[in-house]
Parts: sequence; structure tokens; C-alpha cells
Amino acid sequence: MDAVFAPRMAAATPGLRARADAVRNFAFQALAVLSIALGGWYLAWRWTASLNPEALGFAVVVAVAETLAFVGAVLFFLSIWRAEDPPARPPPRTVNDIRAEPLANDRPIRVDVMIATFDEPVGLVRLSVRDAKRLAYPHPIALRILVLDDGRRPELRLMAEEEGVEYLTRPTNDGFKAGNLRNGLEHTDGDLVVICDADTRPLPALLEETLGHFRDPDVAWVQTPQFFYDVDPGVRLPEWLARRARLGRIGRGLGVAVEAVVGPVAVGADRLGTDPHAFYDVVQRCRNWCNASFCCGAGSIHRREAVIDAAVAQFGEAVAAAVRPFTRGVTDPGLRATLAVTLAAQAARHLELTPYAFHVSEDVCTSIRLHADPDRRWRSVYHPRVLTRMLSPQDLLAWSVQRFKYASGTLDIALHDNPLRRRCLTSWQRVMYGATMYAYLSPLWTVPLMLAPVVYFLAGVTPVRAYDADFAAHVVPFLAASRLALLAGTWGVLTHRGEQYHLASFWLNLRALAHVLARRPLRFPVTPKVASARRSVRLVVPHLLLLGASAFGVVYRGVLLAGSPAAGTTTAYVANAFWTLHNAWALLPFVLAALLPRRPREVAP
Amino acid sequence: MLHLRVEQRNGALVVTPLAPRLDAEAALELRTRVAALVRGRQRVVLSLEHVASMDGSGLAALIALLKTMPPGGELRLAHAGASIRALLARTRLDELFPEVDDPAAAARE
Repeated sequence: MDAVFAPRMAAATPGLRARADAVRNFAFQALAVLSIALGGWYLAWRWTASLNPEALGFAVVVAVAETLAFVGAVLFFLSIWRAEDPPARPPPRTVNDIRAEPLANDRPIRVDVMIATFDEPVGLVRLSVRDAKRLAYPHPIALRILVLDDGRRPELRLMAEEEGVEYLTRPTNDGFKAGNLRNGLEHTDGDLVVICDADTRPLPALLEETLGHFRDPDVAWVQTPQFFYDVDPGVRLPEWLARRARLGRIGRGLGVAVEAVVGPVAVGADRLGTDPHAFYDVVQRCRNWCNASFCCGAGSIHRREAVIDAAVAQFGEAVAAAVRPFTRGVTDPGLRATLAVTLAAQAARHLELTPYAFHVSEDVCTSIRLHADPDRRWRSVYHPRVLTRMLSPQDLLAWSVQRFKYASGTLDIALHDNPLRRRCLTSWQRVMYGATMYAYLSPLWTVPLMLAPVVYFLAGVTPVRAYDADFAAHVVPFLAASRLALLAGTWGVLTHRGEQYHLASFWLNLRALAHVLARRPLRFPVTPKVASARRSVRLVVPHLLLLGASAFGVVYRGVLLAGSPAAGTTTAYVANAFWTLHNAWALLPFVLAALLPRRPREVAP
Repeated sequence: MLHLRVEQRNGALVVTPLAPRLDAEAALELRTRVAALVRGRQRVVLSLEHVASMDGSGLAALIALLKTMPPGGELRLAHAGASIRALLARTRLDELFPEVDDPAAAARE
């Protein structure tokens, strides 16, 4: 499984990419403005002229859902407004090349590679360690590789000894991965820290390509795309039509023509919808220009100074906040000072200094903390080339554990520590964080929108007055323009799987929202790296119910319509059937991933 | 290696790092060697007359030191320069690490 690997974007040279970005940005921005204008026009009409008076409650619910969805689309378009890669800079020679204040005695840069593990197989961690040992750098560099084992396993210590790398463990598991990394930081003094999960395998060029960004002393971290080397890349459409569908040259031509219009299509790719490259190639790339790309943990390189300084500032803030209520009323300055000292020492004892926030979404928390630092304008860089590879979640259960963590973590931040309330973020940073948080509220509109056709099929009521030419004239231009805008904005990136899974995650996101609203504790489960043979039927019960109800509804309303024209109009039926088919298209891969048995993969060599 | 001068004055432990910078490198030794000296002490004074600058890592190590001391213990700083004072004020930790002008006076309090 090793020999076949080649970085995905190896062929893309920076110059070509920049030119393509200019075209992409212009085409996308024009289409996005058009679709936002058409969407506003459609919604204005929808609210003023189309609500069905015979089912007003239903009509309003659907119209509210459409409006929320539109807000989401606007935010998403803004969040991918501009794609821009950071300029490449040569690898720094010594530590003074990356420091704001040079040291009197210059020296090679110190880099600590931290591989955080808890219960992953030793063979898997060994792969990561071996790849870390192959890291190359054109100048002298002081490289330390540390296995941070929260599982306190003798066999892992032995492996580290065999590989000649350092092994660190700690008596507790406080703070889980964030606490584990903190322990690593407390035992090292590297200028830069590479964060790896147990399965993160760096490519030799990781440091050589990314350290140049740290020549800017304000750069706090560089994130590289996470690349799952075990995801099925599928078969490209021309190839599939020519070979698998046995259409020969005609098929290939057809495939090429289709791809020319809609961008690349890969049949059977990534059935589990785990491939994160749409997120990295589109979302993260488009956050670079306004300093809003965020840290995603594995595959990132951090400046120790940034992480520690921000953590110390936050700690000081917390100490001051604990002291303030007691000293506020004390008028005598001497007494107040004495009291403050005593109280501060007491408070500090109970507070944690956390370089990485003790939170389910520690990476997002850390990003916000650094972006919003009032003392220092830290910058983040998204480096667009794949420089690490890792394992994807191995089955739907693992996928769900991971996504639930992301969803509940982000929603928790949104509700209890909302970055939009922080003064020091720029407007564009607010838009970017806002778009991320808003996207996790999506079940609030996707669920009503998916249920609307079912309600129509079973009860015969429609949310609009009529599915007539007027309706079509308003909605079709908007939908067409949004599709085109999305196509331009994500050109060259496969997004359909992501779209399907976005809709199919409605139940998971709804559970996450309920979980956070109920203020239930957020757990930090480690995403399982080994597939279980178990099928995950319970994860798709709501989806099966929805699909079943839709299928039944289509037949039921069809039979009624065939029997008596009074049961509704054909256009209403066709419009709802079309929408239902779209929903089924979105849900089916998710359902199949849960129901079809999967072969567990080998992870150890 | 971080060189230290350690003295006992009027019941307080006075630790004087003989290094120009308390940074990530020095922090490692503060966390290990100095932490071992400080453990269980009520009054500790860190005399910074040789220290020209301190960074977040150094400050984080001071926090770790304080946490190893028993409840009611105080870690005081003496001879802090302007840049260290600015760091303490910026991070709002000046109340946590009160300053004294003279280590001997601090120890008497």
C-alpha cells in the first residue's frame, strides 16, 4: 500500500494555480452575486405572493426553512469568496530567520514531532514514527520525535526504543489529546511543533515545504491538507463509461464531454464520504487570503511561542476574572493589592494552563484564541499541498463518532464561547467562523425541506399556492445560478459526496444540537482506527423511515391522482417527486454504507 | 544548562537564575530542577537580576512552579526588568507574581 502513493497535487505548479485561481475567483464571484440576487428576489416573492393560504402554517414553516437555507448559501458563498495560496518562501536556515527578535547565539531550528496516541495498534504508530524519521531538511535542524502515549503501554515504549525515538507518558489522561500534547510541550523546547495523530504519516518534504512560512514572525501555525491514503479514488467517468459500461470510444467521449461541463466525476469513489479534500481544497484554501484558515490538528506545524503565549494570556485573563469580583468593592489600595495576591494564587491553583484547549474541538478553539489574540495579530497559513497522509475513519460508526465530535464541539463553541463576540477578529474572520458554525445548524432547515414532499404526498397540501409557471420562473433561475456558482467555486474538486453526506448528516447534527443545548458533557472519544465488522443499522433508522415514507407517499399520491384529478395537480406531483428523488440520491450512499458489510482493512505492515 | 544560585534567607528560598533569558529552553529546567527545590516551600523569591528577558514559556514554567507549592505559598519576583514587567502586565499575571524590590525584604514579610 506504500508504493502507489503520490501526492495528489504534485502536478499543480504554483504559477499555473495562481492563474487558474484568478479565473475561478472572477467566475465564481459573478455567479455568486447573481445567485444571491436571484435568491433574494425569489424569497421576496415567496413570502409576499406564494404562501399557500389553505395551509398557512405548513407554508410558513417551509418558507422559513428556505430562508434559513438561503442564509446558509450566502454565508457559504462568502466563505469561499476567494481562493489564494500563500507565496512559497525558501526554508529558513537558522532560528533567527523565523524570530522577531534574533538570538545573540544563532542556532539551527528545533522541531519537535509529537505523535499523540491512546489505543492505536503499535504497528500503526510505528509507520508514523518511521516516516517522521525520514523527514528531510536542506539545512541543519534539531529534530526530536516523541511518541506521546496516553495508553501507558510497555509495548509502545519498546517500539519507541527500537526506533530510536523518545517516549513520553503521564499518570493521568486529563484533557485527552490536548492534555497529552501539553505534556509533550512541557518536556520539550523546540521552536516549532509538528502535531501528528497516531496514524499521521509525514512525507519527507513536510518541513522543507512549510517552514518557509514561519519566516513571517507573526505566523502562528501552518496547516497542511489531511489526506486519507486508504480512500477508494473510484473510476473517472470517461474510463468508467468506456470500460465498465462497455461503451468504448463513444462512452469515453461522452464522459469527457460531461466532465467538461460539470467538472471531474469519479464513479464509486469514497463510498463512506470520508475524503476531506473538498474541505481542504475549497474551504480552507478560500480562508487563506483573509487569515482565517483554521487548525485541524494532525498535519499542522505550530510555533511554540504562539501557542504558549496565547495560553498564558488566557490563563492570566481567567485569574484576573476570578479575583475581580472580590477586590472590586475594596477601596483601600494596599488592602486590595494584598487581597488580590492571595486570591490570585488561590485561583491559579485551580485553573489549568492549556496550550491546546481542553475541549472536544481543541483545534478550532486554539485557532480562535490565536486569531482573536488582542496582544498580537497571529497569522495562520493553509499550505495547499499534501504533506502527510493518514487513515480515514474505517466505517460508518467511526465516521459518526468523528462527525459528532466536530458537530458538538463547534456548536458548543457557538453557544458558549462564540468567536463573533470577540473584539479582535476581523470582519472576514467573523464571516468564516460564522459560516462554519451556521453550517452545523443545517438540520433546522434540511429536515423541514426533506419532510415537505412527504407531507404533500400523504396529506395533499402544498407549501406554495401552485406549482405553476410563475413559481418556476422564480425558483428555476435561482437554483440554476446557485448550481453554477457552486460549480465554479469548487471547480476541479469532487463535491457531490460531500453534498450528499451534508444532507445525510441531518440526524447526527440534530443529536449534536440537542446534546449541546441540554448542556450534556462533551466526551472526547478517540476515533476508532480499526474497522468493526458490525453493521451500523441504528445510525440510519431515521433515513430509512424518511426513504420509506417517501416511497410510500409517491405511490399513494400517484394512485390517488390516477383515480381522481381532484387529488392534486400533476405539476405539484412531479415537482415533489423530483425533490424526493434528490433527497433519496443524497441519503442513499449513507444508508448503503451502513447496511453493506465492509471488509476490515489491514493497518499493520 | 541553566545555572542557578540558591540561598536561604529568613525562611524564604531565594533562587537566582544566572541566565540572560528565561525561555523554552530554561523553562525545561525550571520545571524540573527548580520545581524539586521549591516543592513544599511557602515562600520562594525568584531573583531576576541577571535575566534580561522572559517569554511565555518561561512564564508558563513559573505558573507550574507555583502549582507545586502548597496552598498559601507565594512565588515572588525580585529585580524584574522593564520587559518582564511589561510581560506580566500584558498577561495580567502581575497579581499572581507580586514583585518585591529586595529579596531579603520579601522574605521578612
